[in-house]
Amino acid sequence: MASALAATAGWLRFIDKANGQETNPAPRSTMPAAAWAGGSHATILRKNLVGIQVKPFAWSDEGADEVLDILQQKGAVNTVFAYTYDTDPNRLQANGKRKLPGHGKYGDGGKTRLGGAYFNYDPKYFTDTFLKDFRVPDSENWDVINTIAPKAAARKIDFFAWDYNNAFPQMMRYVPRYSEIMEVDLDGRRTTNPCFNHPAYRAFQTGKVECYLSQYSEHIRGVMWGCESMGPLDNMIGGDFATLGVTCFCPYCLQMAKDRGLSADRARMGYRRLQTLFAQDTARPDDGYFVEFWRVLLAYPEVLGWQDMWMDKYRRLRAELYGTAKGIAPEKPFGFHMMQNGTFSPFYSAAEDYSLTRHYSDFVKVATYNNAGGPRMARLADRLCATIFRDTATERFLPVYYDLMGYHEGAREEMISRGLSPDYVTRSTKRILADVKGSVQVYPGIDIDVPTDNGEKHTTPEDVTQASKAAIGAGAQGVVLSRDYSEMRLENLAAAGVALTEAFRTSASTHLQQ
Amino acid sequence: MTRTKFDSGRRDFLTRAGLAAAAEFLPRHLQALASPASQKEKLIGIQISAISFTDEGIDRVLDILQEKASVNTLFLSAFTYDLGTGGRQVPGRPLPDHGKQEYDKFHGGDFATPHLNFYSDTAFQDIKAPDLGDTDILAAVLPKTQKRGMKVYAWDYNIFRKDTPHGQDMEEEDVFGNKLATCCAYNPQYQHFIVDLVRDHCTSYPIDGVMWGAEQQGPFNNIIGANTWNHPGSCFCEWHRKAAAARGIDVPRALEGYKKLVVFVQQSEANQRPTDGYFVQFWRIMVEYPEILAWEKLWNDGKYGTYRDIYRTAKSVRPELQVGFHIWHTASFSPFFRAEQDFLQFTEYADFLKPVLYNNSAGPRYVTYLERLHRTIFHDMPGDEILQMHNDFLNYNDLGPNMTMKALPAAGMPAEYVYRETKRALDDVQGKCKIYPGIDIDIPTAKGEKETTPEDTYAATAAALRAGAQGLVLSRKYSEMRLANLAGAGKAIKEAQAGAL
Repeated sequence: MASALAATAGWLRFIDKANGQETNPAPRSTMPAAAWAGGSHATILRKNLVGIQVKPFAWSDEGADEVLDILQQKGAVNTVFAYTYDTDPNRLQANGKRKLPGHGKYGDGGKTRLGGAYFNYDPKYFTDTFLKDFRVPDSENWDVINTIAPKAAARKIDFFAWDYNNAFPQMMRYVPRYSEIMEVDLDGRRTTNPCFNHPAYRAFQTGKVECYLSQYSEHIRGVMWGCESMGPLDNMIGGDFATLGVTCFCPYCLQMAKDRGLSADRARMGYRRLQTLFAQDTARPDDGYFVEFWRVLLAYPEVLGWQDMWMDKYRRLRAELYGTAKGIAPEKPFGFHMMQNGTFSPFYSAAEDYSLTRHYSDFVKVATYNNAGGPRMARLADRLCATIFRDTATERFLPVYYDLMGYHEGAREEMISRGLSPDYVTRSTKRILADVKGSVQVYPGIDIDVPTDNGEKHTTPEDVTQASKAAIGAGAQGVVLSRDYSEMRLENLAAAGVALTEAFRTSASTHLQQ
Repeated sequence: MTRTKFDSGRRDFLTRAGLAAAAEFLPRHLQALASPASQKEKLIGIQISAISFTDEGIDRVLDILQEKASVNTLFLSAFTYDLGTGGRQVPGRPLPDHGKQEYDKFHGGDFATPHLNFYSDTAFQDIKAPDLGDTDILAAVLPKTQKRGMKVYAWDYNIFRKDTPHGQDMEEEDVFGNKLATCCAYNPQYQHFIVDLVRDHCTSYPIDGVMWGAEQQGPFNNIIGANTWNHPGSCFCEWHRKAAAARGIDVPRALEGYKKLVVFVQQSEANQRPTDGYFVQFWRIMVEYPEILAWEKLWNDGKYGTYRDIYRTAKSVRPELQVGFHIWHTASFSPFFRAEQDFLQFTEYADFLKPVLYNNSAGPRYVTYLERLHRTIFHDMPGDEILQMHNDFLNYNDLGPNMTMKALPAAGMPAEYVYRETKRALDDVQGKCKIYPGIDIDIPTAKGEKETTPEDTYAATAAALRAGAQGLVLSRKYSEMRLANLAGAGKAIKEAQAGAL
């Protein structure tokens, strides 16, 4: 599948001039996604979408019919975002810190949950990749799509495949050759993050999208793809959101850099300087941390070049997936889960540019989890104040940070114990709606018991009510109750149902062509 | 170079307690401080324009300088087109209590005699300052200073007029191709001229040193407004583009990035907030166009190439000549500009640095700088927040109650700023070159803003000496200083020389 985005942008040619090839600076795509996909009326989007993310084990633990009834009756859910591919091994355990939310079962504490596909894919979609054997080995070939989608359809609930690709190392332990597609850090070490530039990984991802929309065409109404990952600079300052390593320096990325005239050696040198600067035991430089940070960028603009290249790879993969989906089933919505750091970090917010994202998505589900967002934002601010803004302290930095991001939240400790206000949901939603200029539907993720630690904010029904109202009040076309049904207390789910029903009361909850 | 809190505390303890016995264990720059005798060897400089000597008489001026402030070195403004370093008091400011009591019509140029045989490789030759007729200020002053054992450094300043013949051949261009009054460091005409000027001064006169000042910065800093005055982003002339291409910078993308940055700044100044906020949009441009910073570095490398040329030229004439650089005040305010002032790197081609630490005028200047950034990349933040953040970046966060946007213009910066910045400079250079802080004596400010007092000059001078500076330069020019304020500095100098500071 051809990329909808230009693969290259012109770039510095500092040292790697041996290649001798100049790249033609190509503008980033300016074609609206819907128009590119075959006309602005091609994609059928549900109005007033109330989605919910559901883990595979929830269906078997509680019974598919029972779960669907609860979702519909309590949560007013009309769209299930069922994890069809899930890399996350975690779930509640009997000996864990968190207890069951009043329903469901604990995981088998003695057994590691493996990730992978919860559907029985046809291998023909994966001929172009060596990643062929990724069926979850511990679920006895249970197929979430074939099992759940018909039951959902019987209830007029749409079934969306939620293809979740976060970096978890256990995937390397049982998927043959999975380690080969992992990013490489600046010291040449494989990490646990898949490289978006690896042809086998890209073919693997497009294969899944083809499979969803071809093999399961009668069941799947839409697809959401997500992988919470960031470029090397954002990773260094990303706190909770960071994945392993300063990446990627794999052979494919080195070639891509060479094609751009971007020096890998100088990028490595720059990132090493930053690693030293950001190390916990680094004493304050004579001229201060921020000055030194800026000095590194001046000396090694390749740091920014590598970061930009990383984001281009991320955008290109997403555009490829979108193009694949639209080519097969233009009427079915294809969108992306957007990680919460895009609403937090001014740096990652700059990288995750929705004015570009809107060219390759029908919808975005943005993680605007306000309860868990409190401690998460506090830790992000802590991390920024341990790196770029290390000259200052979090409490002094927060007013600056709030102004930069347009938020009005509380002091650090208050943020942790009380979470973020509904105003955070409103502002984040409005900002993204303005960015996408109406060409993409925006579904804020509503925080329902997204896990937090002791002493941190926990969700209440009132929180859910306010966040739901904030999202719809800001103009969102729907919401996705998050992160996962198996974590949610039913009174909190019910609060969402009541609030959303009220908010949408004047609108018909029917399929509409947009 | 980094230092630990322990290092800093140890130095303070030893120096302030006067433990001379421990002096041999101190860094080189602090050994001097530990010995009262060595205080007399410190360079006590003053910037002075030629007209002060013709107005007041050479011997009389030298008498005043020696008596009131123990000056032992003149930084004699030899080449300047700038009224900030040459001529009398700037119009609009009260004339001081000495010199002719009228404002001059300053033109500027070379106040020595340009010897044309040195300028054969540049068309820019018509540089003799017409202000004082045929007076050759170096030739006139040097015999007098030599008799007194005073030293003279040629103080040359990188400002040019647009009406000087062939000046336009050296001019910078902004990103849209407009010519500017500043000169491009990659232009061969300019490069030759600077070398020729330095060789002429060093060869034709028995001067003791050269100080070069260039209060300019790269295009990025100017465009985002990290400055105390308006200046377009430059340079993008043909010479600069050639230098960029030779370095492997993608010129079209750099131009595209800078034009986007200009548009962003124009929209910011017009209060057109980007959807994601001013800073996020700014950062987005920076990441998408790393060529912006590559070009900024290229510009700086050109500037520092000029520094190297000056150093090599002077040393090639007489190795004992002292060569140093005036470091623009913006380094005190802008973390972006400060990042470009790597003092340790400067030691490769400098015997001394004169960081501008004008604490009185720093108040209004700092606020002006912050207000400008408030209109661009930090437009989402109120002024005092930007100030606080900068204070944290720059290590000014505990400089007292007047460090607010409202109070700073009238209060100025405290003497502690001078102390702290002097120490920073000393730590940066690791003893590899000398630090002569610039001391503010009546540097012009606007009405209602901080005016210099004798107490101010005493405190600032004492702070610089206590911090361990190997000397200082009373600034900006004698012709705007009131004698009481000069004497205030002198009081601190004399106390230091007597071991009583």
